[in-house]
Formats: sequence, structure tokens, C-alpha cells
Amino acid sequence: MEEYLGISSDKLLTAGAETVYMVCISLFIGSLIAFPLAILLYLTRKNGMYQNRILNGILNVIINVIRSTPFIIMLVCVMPLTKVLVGTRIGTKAALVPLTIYIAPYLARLMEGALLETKEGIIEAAESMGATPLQIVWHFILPESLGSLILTITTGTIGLIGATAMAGYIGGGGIGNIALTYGYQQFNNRLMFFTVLILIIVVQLIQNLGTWASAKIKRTR
Amino acid sequence: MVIELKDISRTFEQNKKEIHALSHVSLNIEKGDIYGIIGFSGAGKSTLVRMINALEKPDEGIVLVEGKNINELPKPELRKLRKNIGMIFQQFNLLESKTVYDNIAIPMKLNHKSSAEIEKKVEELLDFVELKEKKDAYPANLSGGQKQRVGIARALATDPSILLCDEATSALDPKTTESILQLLKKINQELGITIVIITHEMNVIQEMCNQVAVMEFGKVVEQGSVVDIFSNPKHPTTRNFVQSVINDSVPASLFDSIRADERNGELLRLKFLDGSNTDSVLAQVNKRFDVETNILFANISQLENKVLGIIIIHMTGEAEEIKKAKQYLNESGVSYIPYEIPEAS
Repeated sequence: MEEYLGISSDKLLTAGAETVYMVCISLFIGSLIAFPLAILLYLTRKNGMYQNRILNGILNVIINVIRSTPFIIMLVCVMPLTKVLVGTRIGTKAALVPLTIYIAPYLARLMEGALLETKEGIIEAAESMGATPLQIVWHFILPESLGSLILTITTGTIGLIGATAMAGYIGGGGIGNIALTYGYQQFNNRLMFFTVLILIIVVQLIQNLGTWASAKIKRTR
Repeated sequence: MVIELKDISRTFEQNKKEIHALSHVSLNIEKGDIYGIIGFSGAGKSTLVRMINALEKPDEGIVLVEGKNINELPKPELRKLRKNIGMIFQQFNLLESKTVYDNIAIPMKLNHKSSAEIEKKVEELLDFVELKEKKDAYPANLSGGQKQRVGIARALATDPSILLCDEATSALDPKTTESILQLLKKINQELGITIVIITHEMNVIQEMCNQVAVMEFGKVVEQGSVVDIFSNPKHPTTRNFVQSVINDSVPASLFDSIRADERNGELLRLKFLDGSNTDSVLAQVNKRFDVETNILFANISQLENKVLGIIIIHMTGEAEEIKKAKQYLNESGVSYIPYEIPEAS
């Protein structure tokens, strides 16, 4: 294996662990930020339960600005903030900050879309039962959009895996970094294709898992 | 009076154009009524029924539910009142992600009932709507009729005193419609719940309601007891609706033979209500007077608990005899109106 790929399997495993670490932590924190944001977007939108044009407008601008910044630029831009939050500008831990900032608004936007899928009639039925706005979100909108929310997390995870490849730029490590530095830059095509193949398989598995879980929850056959 | 709508108007703006969904509508609904509101789509009936639980608010007018002005209630009070008004929908509006049991349990969960209480009530409701075996099924695996039964059970979960039905049977086939109507009747009779039904199908009104309002272009064009409206519809739209279930149009070929008939004669539309005995009255007319009666159309229908008979006859004979026969009809409690022969086409 080592001879074939020209790299120690230890290095490969470490890189795999780094990718998993970066994806999981930033996905977790990113979702924690994105979810309330999505609900806020949903509630304050035009004709929403707590329509608020100013708040909705501000949130939209922030999300759009972050989403339109290329990730490689953001990696560098947020360095001062990274230093404050995790104490260093480089390394796997340091990559968590830009990754989270990158994924949170992306997820928020996707989640907002999932919440909007809830049929008008369901909300009308909830109102006719005398549900409070919070109850409408908790008892009606969330269960109805849970399947779609899982799909958004799936999409977010896959997006993050792609972004972690660039985290190598600030020493974040990870599988993508192996492909770039040991594969591409050292003309080790075999290693490059191997790592890309691994990424393809992982992405496939995650997508299938997400699609399966979503269908299971949606219960629409 | 359980529900009073006083001079309700509501205008929507759509593509910069004003649409008068409701203009100056007034209705009074008594406790225990099954009140039907019929109209074609776009007549404003959906907006009207939503006034009753304040899902829609009027631009003008007052909505009183059990004496309270529903649009002046503070929000918590409004939510409390809404729990007393169940609602079912054409598209059922069930949560696809929850089982039948959980769907019915939702209104009670909103009221923070204990799970033991919820279980007892849901079982009771499942029994009432005859859906016990579907307790753990998901809506996607139910037929339309079964979904509506779940909707009804859910609407009854908070023991409301009013039930609003928004085209509740319009997505169902005739046989299923029939069974849902029977269930609604049972709810009215056994639980004493006042029911308001929105529909575009006159047979629903005929079968269920004791009161009816006919709507067109945001206005109520005719309202009254179902017997009165069916036996004597005045507005053209009402007549259309009544004709959709009691089609008293006489085939054109019959008119041809009447036109060809050279004897003196008149066409009469007779109305029998309950007590009056259709057969014997006509038999007596033939026996006592020198007239001949030829039945062109006859229909007997049951409304509320009364029997309504509509018969169109061609009466021939001397003018004097016909006049006497008509007098006799009056005396026997049979009302009639002249029926016009349409121009030959």
C-alpha cells in the first residue's frame, strides 16, 4: 500500500481523521447557528408570522455577503478573528472558524427553503386549532420539514468536505490536502486519483444516507 | 345565536386590482344548525367561513361568535375561542410526517394535556370516526375518505361546539362523500355541534342542511330554510343550484307535442309539502272536474325531515273547468305556479 501510493498509511489515516474532525465540528456549530437563523428568516419574512422587513433585510444582506465571498479569500480574511477564538491562525483547529462561517449562512439559506416547503394549509389548520406561533413552528413546521432539513444538512456536509480541501492552505490538513500537496504538486497521480476516489465514495455514501433518512422521515411513498 | 355576521365586507388587492371577496354579507347561525353556504368557486364562501374563526378579518362589519366580537379579542382569548371552533378542509391538511394517532393528538398536545388523557380521547375519537385499525398508519397510506375522518377526529379533539367544513367533501367520490356526510350528521345529532358547511354541491345542502345561504360574487343572493329555498328558489343562481339536484326541465320533445295539442290547456308546476297526498289530489282533480292531467315531470325529495314533491302537469280542458281545478288544488294545500313553455327552437 505504502509503496503503491508513495505515502505512509499513517499519514493517510491522520488526514482522514482531520477531515472528519473539521467537517463534523464545523457542521455541528454551523447548524447550531444556521437553524435559529433559518427560523428567524422564516418568521420575519413578508407575510410571515412576525413579519419584520428591517430584521429580515439585514439578515439577508449578511447571508448574501458571506455566501458570495470565495472560501479561499475568507480563509485569509477571518484570520484575526481565528486568532482571537482559537489562539492560532494555522492548523486544523484554526480551519474550523472559516469553515463554520462559510457553512452557517449556506445552511441557513437551505434550511429556510426547507421550512418554506410546509404547506400553507398546514399552518392554517394549526392557526384554526389556536396554536401559538411557537407551537406552530415546533409542532407543525418542524415535523413537516424535518425530512427536507436532513437533506439540507446532507448538502451542507458535502459542501464542507469540498471546502476542507482548501483548508490545507492554512495548514488544516485533511484528505484534500494530501491530494493537493502529495499528489498534484509532487506529480504523484496515483495518490491524487486514489484520494479523489475516496472522496467520491464518501460523498456518495453521505448522499445516499441523507436521501434514505429523509425519505424515511417524510413518510410519503 | 351562536354565530352572527353583521354587514361583513372584505376586499383583497391582487395585481393592483381590487377584488371584493365579500360585500355586505350578514348571516345568523343558530345553535344546532347545519348551515350550508353554497356558491361557485370565487363566490367568496371560503373567505366567509374564515371570518368565523378569524383566519380572515373583515374590513368592515362585525363577527360575533357566542356573543363575543372575535376581532376585538386579545390574542390569547382568540386562541382559546378557536379551540372551541373545529375546522376541516378540502385538502385535509394532515401532518404527513405523523401517524393518525399523533395527528389527532396534536390539538390536545397544544393544550398540554397528559398523555393518559390524550390516549383515552384519541381512542374514543378513533372509535367515533370508525378508524381504529388505522391508528398507526401514516396519511400517505390512507384513502381520501379516511384522511377526512382523521381531519374530523382532529377537529373534535378539543370538544368544540362549532365545526367549520371548508369544501370537506369536494375532493371525494360520491360514495365517500355520502359516508362523510353521514358522519357529520352524527356529529350534529349526537354531540349537538353547530356545523357550517361550505360547498359548491347542492346535493350536500339537500342531504345535510336545515339552513342555506346562496352566494355569488361576494354577496349572499338568497338565504333561508332549505325547504323554502328548494321549493321556491327565487334568484337565478339559486334556481340553477336547485336544478342541479332536482332537474325539473322537461324534455323538448314533450313541449313539441304540447304545442301540437290544440285543446285548451295550461302547464302548472305543483309543489307538495309533507301532509298533502300527491296521488289522491291529482286523482280527485281528474274525477271531479272535466279536465285531463298529464304528468310531464315528477320528483319527490326528502329535506330535513320533510318530503318535498315537485310535479309539472299539463292540464287540458275548458278554461272554466281548469279554473275550478286550480281552486281545488289551492284548497287541498297544494301550491302551484304557471310553468312557461319555452319558445320552439
